[in-house]
Amino acid sequence: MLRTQLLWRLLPSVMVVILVASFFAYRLSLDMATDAYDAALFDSARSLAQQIEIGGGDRPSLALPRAAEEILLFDPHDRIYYRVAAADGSTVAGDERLPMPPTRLTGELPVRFYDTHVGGERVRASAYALFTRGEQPAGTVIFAETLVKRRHLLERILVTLVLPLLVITLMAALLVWYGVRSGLAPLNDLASALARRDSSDLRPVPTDRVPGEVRPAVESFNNLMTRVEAAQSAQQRFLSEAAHQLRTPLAGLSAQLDRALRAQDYEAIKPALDQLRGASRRVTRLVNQLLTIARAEPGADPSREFAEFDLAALVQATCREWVPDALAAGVDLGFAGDPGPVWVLGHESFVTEMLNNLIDNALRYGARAGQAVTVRLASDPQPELTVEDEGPGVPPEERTRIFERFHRISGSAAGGAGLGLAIVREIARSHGAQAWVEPAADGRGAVFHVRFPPQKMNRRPSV
Amino acid sequence: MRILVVEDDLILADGIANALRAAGHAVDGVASGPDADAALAAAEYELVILDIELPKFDGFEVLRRLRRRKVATPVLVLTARDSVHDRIHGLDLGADDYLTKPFEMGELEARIRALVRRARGAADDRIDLGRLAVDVKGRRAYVEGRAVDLSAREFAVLEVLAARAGRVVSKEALISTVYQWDRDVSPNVMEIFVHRLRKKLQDAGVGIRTIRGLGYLLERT
Repeated sequence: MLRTQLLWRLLPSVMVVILVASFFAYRLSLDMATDAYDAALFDSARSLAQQIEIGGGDRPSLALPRAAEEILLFDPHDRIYYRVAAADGSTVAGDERLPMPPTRLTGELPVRFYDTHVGGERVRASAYALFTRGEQPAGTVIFAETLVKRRHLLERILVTLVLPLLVITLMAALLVWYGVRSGLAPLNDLASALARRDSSDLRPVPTDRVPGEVRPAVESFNNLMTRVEAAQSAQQRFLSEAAHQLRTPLAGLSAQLDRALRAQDYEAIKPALDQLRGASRRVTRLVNQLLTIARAEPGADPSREFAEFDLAALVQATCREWVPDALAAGVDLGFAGDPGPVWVLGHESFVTEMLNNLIDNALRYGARAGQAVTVRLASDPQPELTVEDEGPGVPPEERTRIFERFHRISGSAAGGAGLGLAIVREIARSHGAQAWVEPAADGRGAVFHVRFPPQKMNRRPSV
Repeated sequence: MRILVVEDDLILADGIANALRAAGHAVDGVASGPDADAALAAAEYELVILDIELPKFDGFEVLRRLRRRKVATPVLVLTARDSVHDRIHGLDLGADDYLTKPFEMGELEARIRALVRRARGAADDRIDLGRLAVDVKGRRAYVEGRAVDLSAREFAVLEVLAARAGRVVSKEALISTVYQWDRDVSPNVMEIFVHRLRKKLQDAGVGIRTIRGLGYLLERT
């Protein structure tokens, strides 16, 4: 889901930003607070130092009145320690458990802050160097306090920093959750509008209420709808055209049946029966062609069943099947060209069907008795099949249209429904091949071409 | 011959049964899967003509049950569906032949003859074409009863052409009946055989036609 996805992407980055920001804010406030407490600590150390006198032998001595010591050592939260040490390290006053600074203090750097322990308890210490009048080291004053108020401060910083950040994170999550929901609301409306639609309603979806980001998707969808509608109405036209085409031979069947039923003797029945046979053959052929068209339809995608086969063997076998029909019509059907093998990737039975229709077309409309129909096969540079007849040829203005479904040249011989060449074109297309017609070289007759795409495995060495 | 016709379209079943009875066969007809199964279990048939789209259970199931009982009766499957897949399925189940509706009765009768001949394990041992008779067993050809003087190879070529009379036989197929496949033979050699055969069969009432680029065809003249 989009919302969960967005949250999963957004929340970790928000968390990281918040954590990094908190870390730096925390460090900064901690530094500032430490500086402030350290300054106070230093003030106390200096006040203590002012009470020290450097006596004879440059030894410091502390003369601290009782009241002053109480003020100095009073703190509401922390325990305070101090120590006055002579230059040799011996304790002059205060608590000698308080450790000396880790490095010696010098004239250039007379103050030092450091963390240490007193009786197992962590303390923050400030050391202040004492000097004689002759600028000689005279001792050290150390003032230290436990960390209670610093810890309190730390906790307060953390709470004031982190709580608002947590609230911000939560609000970001809620914003994403509800923002995406309201942003997607038009999409949900769209979805339910589409779900309620009748399956025949292929009108485009209105795009005015659709958010800009989604508009390209909706427009593509509308384009698809338009194409589906075009394909559907083409199907519808095809279906009704097919039904009409079936009506004619069925009407003939019915008329001849009535004639046969009225006849009194066999001599009278026989012609009607011959006509019935013819009509039934026409219906059979038409139905078979319709089925072939349905199976060669682009949506059926025969390329899933493609395999390699020898086109030369297929062409010769198919031609041999047609020879008896051609001889019966007095037509000289022959084959010329590459004897093969010519390897082609395709659907064998579809290619056979395509050639069947080309030869049928040539015998039906192209050649008359005494004429020749020649099937040729070339393999270089790519497989190309041609069927040439010596008939009347195809007028220039018909050369594209004869490949359309149900198109018949007006005045041409009866019998066909105008599907054969449409089948040729559709099967050629499903094989990536081109199909077209040209006049024969001497201007007499038609040459139908089917040019296959160049084959990867063409002319495999024969075993 | 006793034939079972399993077909639920009564007009088609009637047409088939009438044609087969006219040809002298004894025909029983049933119209559903279970009826077909029962008929096949009860009686012995020499041939079954089986539709696939049947009520209750289909022809594939009838075929499966028949073959499960180890009955080898030849089965000719009829169907309106002609997808390769269906055809393979039927042949896998043990169908002997396949015919797509609609078909012409002549085609059905030819298929039945071929199936029965195959089941009986015998090919035609005599082919008659016009005045020509080819005695396959005796390896001799006769024109109006008179023996034609043919070499063994000439007879082999004539036998193949006669067996497939009216259809085109490729040059390669003819050469392979005469010569071993590993011998390198010029395709022109067949022209010599055909030329000699034409001469010797001049008044046999048959002719050998050369079909451009495709082979030869024996036809009645």
